[in-house]
Amino acid sequence: MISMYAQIISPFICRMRILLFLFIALLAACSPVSMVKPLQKKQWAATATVGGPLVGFGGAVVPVPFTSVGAAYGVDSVSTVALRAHATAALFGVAQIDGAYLRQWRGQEGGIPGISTVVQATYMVDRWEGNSRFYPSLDVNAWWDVGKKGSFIYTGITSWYELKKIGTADRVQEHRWIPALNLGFTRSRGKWNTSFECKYLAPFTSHESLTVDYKAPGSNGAFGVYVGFTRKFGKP
Amino acid sequence: MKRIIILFLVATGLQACLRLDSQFFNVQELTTYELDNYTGERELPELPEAYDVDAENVHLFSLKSNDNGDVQTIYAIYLGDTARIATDTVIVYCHGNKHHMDFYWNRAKLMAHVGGEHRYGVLMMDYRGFGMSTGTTTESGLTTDVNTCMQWLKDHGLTGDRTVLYGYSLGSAPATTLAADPQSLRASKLILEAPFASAEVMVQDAALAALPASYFTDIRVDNAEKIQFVDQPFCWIHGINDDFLKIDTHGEVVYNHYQGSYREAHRIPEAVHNNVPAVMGYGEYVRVVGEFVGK
Repeated sequence: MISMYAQIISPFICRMRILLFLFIALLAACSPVSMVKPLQKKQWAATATVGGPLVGFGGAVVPVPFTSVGAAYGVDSVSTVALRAHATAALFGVAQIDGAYLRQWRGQEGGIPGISTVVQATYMVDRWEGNSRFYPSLDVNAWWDVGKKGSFIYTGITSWYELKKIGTADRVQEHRWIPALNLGFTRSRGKWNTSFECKYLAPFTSHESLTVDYKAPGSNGAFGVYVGFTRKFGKP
Repeated sequence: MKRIIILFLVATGLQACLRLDSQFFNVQELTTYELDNYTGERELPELPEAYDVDAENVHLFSLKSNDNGDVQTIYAIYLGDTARIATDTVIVYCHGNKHHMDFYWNRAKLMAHVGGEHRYGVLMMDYRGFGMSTGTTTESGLTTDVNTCMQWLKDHGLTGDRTVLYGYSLGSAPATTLAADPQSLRASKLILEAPFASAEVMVQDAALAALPASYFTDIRVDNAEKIQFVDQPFCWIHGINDDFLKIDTHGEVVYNHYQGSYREAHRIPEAVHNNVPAVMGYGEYVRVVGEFVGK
């Protein structure tokens, strides 16, 4: 795909964008399709996600194709733990793993949505120089059931935290809190869940002065689209 | 399920070597240099005829450049009288990351008018992989190829005290490297236009977070670090509205890391990455560069 783009786009800036949009995509990929509802007690699930922020490239708008695979386990009826590995990052020699703990605080009651939070830790390390990074994040989500087969819509906010105060070249790290707004739908059919999610990444940060041509309403942040698949195993 | 996971891990391990380095350099091959007759895209396309140069003062030649055993043929253009290299000051012009010398030809002509037409000699080269120069572009190859050209100048009688290194955009990498760590010649002055601070600054500008550059590239351009070892006089020129290498995160960082004997800054209002001379006005640009070279 990269080669195809390179043949279409020749200007220097566009060429550099190939390099740079993947970097931001790496970060965005750290928060793929949200975990919203817990599994049932002692239930296992396998997960896979694909998607990323939309960027302008050669006159077209394309999503960055980031992927992850993982597993989740229902600790009890309101708690689920999950482990996820990022496949696309791995292709570039970066091991990126997320560990997450979901807690449901309340179920839906009438029009009042169910509420859950996810505490996540992401660790990355590259095979080239051994550079590592650790990022904590917190999700808060609300959902409403749709129909009687377990489908639901949801919305929420993801907050990423940059722990480093100083960036490269002794620069003060300007962005310590990197939020994303989420809106999605999960279609549930038997053992399978399929989720479609839109994210508005870094909605309070202007993208006008960034090299990457992010696509989003207005001049802030980046808009992302994601698809997730969950296969549940065993009877709870 | 277990087999699938093992297969995935094995496949990932085998393929986990993708790098974006080859995408970094924006080269274009040429079979011949056309210079004034070139009809393709070029920088400063509106350069007035007043900045034309006589054909007898344009010398295209090739050199063998050996970068750790990777021997390539690189092409260079000398603007001026080669017989006067032994007595003239020469500006070694390191161009940016696009295509070839035809693309930057107008910039070279402009440089040939610094201090008056052919007051100073100008040498511009295509790094390996650019234009007619053979091979694949690499970060170390940039420095080697520029140094090879400086060795050629030295062989023609140039001395370090009459050598000025000029790096534009990507060219700031070899220029800064060779000013900080001289090889064939120790240049007496360094001029950087729209320089990189480092590959990592580019990454962190785009990613918002403090991610390391090593996640995707082996390229380690780090002018912010190397400029600290430059003690020759330093002139920095940057467009305030640079939309590619932002002035505050790239240019200012390089400028502020300089610890040498003399520095001057020219922050150009309204200018973006590739039009600083045009926005300044060609005459003013030539005057500013000329004053610094003549100090």
